[in-house]
Amino acid sequence: MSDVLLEVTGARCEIPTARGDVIALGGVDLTVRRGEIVGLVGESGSGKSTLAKLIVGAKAPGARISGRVVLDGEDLESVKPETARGIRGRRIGIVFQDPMMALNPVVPIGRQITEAAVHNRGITREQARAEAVELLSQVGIPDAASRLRHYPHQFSGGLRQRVTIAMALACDPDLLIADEATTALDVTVQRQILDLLSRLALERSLAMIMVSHDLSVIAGRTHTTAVMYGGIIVESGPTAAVFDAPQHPYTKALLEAIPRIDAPPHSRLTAIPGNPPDLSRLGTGCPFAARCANAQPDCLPVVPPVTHPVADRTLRCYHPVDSFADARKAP
Amino acid sequence: MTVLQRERARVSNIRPRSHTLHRLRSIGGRALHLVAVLVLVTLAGTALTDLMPGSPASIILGPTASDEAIAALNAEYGYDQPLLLRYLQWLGNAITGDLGVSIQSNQPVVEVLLQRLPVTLELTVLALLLSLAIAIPAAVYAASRENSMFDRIVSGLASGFMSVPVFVIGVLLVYVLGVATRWFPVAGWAPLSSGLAENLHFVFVPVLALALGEFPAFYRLLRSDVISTLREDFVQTATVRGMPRGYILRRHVLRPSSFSLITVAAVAFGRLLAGSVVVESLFALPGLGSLALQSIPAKDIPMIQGIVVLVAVTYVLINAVVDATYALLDPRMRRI
Repeated sequence: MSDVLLEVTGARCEIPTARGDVIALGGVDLTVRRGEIVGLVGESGSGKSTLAKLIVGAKAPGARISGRVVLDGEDLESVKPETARGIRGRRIGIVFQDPMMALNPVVPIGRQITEAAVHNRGITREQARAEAVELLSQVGIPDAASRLRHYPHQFSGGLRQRVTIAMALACDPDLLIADEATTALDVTVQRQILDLLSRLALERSLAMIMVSHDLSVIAGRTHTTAVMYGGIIVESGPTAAVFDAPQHPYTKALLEAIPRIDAPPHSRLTAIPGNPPDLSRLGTGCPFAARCANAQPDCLPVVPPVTHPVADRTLRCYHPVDSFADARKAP
Repeated sequence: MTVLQRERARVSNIRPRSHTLHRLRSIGGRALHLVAVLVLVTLAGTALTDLMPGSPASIILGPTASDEAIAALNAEYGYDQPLLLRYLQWLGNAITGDLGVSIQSNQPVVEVLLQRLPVTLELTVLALLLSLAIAIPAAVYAASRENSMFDRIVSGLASGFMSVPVFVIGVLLVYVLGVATRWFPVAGWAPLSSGLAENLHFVFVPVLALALGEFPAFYRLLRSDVISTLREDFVQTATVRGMPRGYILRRHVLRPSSFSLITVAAVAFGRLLAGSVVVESLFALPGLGSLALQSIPAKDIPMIQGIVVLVAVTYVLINAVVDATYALLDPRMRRI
C-alpha cells in the first residue's frame, strides 16, 4: 500500500462566461498522503474551493475540467463516470461551507446521513441507522437516536455542521475535505468544529484537506500547507516551514497582513495593495506580479514553473523572498 | 446553592411548552376564516338579485307580465324583502340543508346539485390526476436533462397546447377518437351505476381534453422549479456522495420543487369544478357546468345561488387541504 492517498496532477478548470473564459484553476498539482492533514489557503477566488470540488467530482455548470485525479492508485478519469462517482462517494467525504445549504431542508437528517452508506456500501437501512446514531454522538450531538428524524432547521448552526460532518463520515472515507467548513459559523463554534475535525482525523487516521481563507485556521492544525493565488498553488510545504520562512512574496504578504495583538496601539494594519486578479483577464505571467513587491519584468511573460527549492517544498516564483534566496544559493 | 447552580436548576426544570393549545388556536383561526369567506360569498350570491335591473320576478315573467303577477311572484319567493332579511332567511334554510326550489324545474336545488355534482367531480378529479400524471414525470425528466431533445420536444408541445383553447382540443379529440376511429362515443354520459368500464368509456375523451388543456401550466411550472432546485447545494452534496440521479430526483428534488405546483393545481381544481362549462356542453355531460349554463339565462336564482355556494365551499375546503399539504411537504411550515 502506497503512502500516497490522493494525487492531483495538472488540474485545470475553465468556466466560460460572457466576458471570456475564467481560468479558475491553471494547472495545479496536489499530493495528500495517508493520514496527512493538508491546509489549502488563499483569498476568495484563488481557486481553492474549485480544487476541492474537482477532487470530489463536482463542478460549476458549463465548466471545462482537465487533469488527473488518482485516488489510492486508481485514476478516476480512466473509469466510467458512474464508477468514479461511486468510488468518490465511498472514499471521500466533504463538508461544505454552509450547512443550511448543504442539507436538504425537507428530508430528515437520519435519511440524509444514512442514504449514502446504504447505497455505496450495501448495508441495510437498520445497520446504517445504528451507525448514524454512533456517528452523531461521535461528532457531539446529544440524544442522537431521537434526533435522526429531526429536520435541519431544528438544529443550531454549529450542530448542523456537526450533522454534515457525520454525513461526510457515513461511508467511512479515507479522505475528508473541509471546504471552508467553519467560515459560516460563530467564532466560538468555529473553534469547536475545528477541534472536532482534528480529533476525528486523528482517531480515524483520516487524511484531510482543510480549505480556508483564514491562516489561523490552517496554522497548528495541518501538516502541510498549500497557498493558492490566481488559480495556482504558489507555494507549499510543511506548515511550520511555510509559516516560519515564507518563500513566495504572496505568502509573506499574507502573513504580514495578520493583525498582531502585541503591535503598539494605533499602528496601521498591513494590507496587500491592489485586488485579487480578475480570473477572466489573467495575463500570461505570474498572477501575483501586479501586486508583488518583488516583481520584475521577467515575471510577466510566463507563469513561473514549479520548483523544489528544498526537498519537501514547492514554489512558483522567479524572485522569492530574500531569506529564502540565501538558502537557495547555499550549496 | 450558588446563583449559577440555582439558575441551572431553574433552566433544566422548564418543561417544553404545551403546544396543544397553540395548535387548537391555529385550527380555530382557520375555521373562523372559512366561515367568514362563506358568509361573504353567499351574501354576494344573494345580492346578485339586487344587481339585476328590475325585480327578479319581472325578469322571470318577461315584459308582458302584469304588475300584479310580478308582485305576487316577488312575494312568493321573498324578493320584496330587504337584502339582509332575505339573506338571513336563506342562510337559516341553508344551514338546515334547504337551498330552496328551482324556479325552472320546481325541484329542490340540493337534489339537483347532488345529481349534477358527481359528474363534474369525476370529470375534474380525473382530468386533474391525468394532467398531473403527464406533467410530473415529463417535467422532472425534462428538467434533469435541460435543453435535451426530450426537453425541447415536450416544452414545445406544452407551449402548443397552452395556446390552443380547450374547445379546439375537444373538437379535435372528438374528431380523431370519436368520428374517425370510432373508439370512443362522440358525446353523452353513462353514470357509474351502469358499470365502471362503460362510465370510463364515456368520460375518457372529455377528461383527456381537459387534461391536455391543464397539463402545460403544471409542466412548465414544475420544470422550472425542478431546474432551480437542481442548482441547490444539497443536490450537489447528494451527487458528490455518489447517490444515483434517479434517487436524487425522487428523494431530494421533487418535494421541495412541488410547492407552486400544488398551489396552481388546487386553483385549477376549483376553476375546473366551476368552469368546465365548455367541455360539459361540448360532450353533453350532465354536470354543474351545463346546469349553470341552463340556469343563468332562465334567471333561476335559487339554483345559481346553490351553484355559487357549492363552488365556494369546495374552493375554501381545497385551500384548507392545500395549507395542510404544505405542512406535510415542508417540515419548516409545521407548528412544532
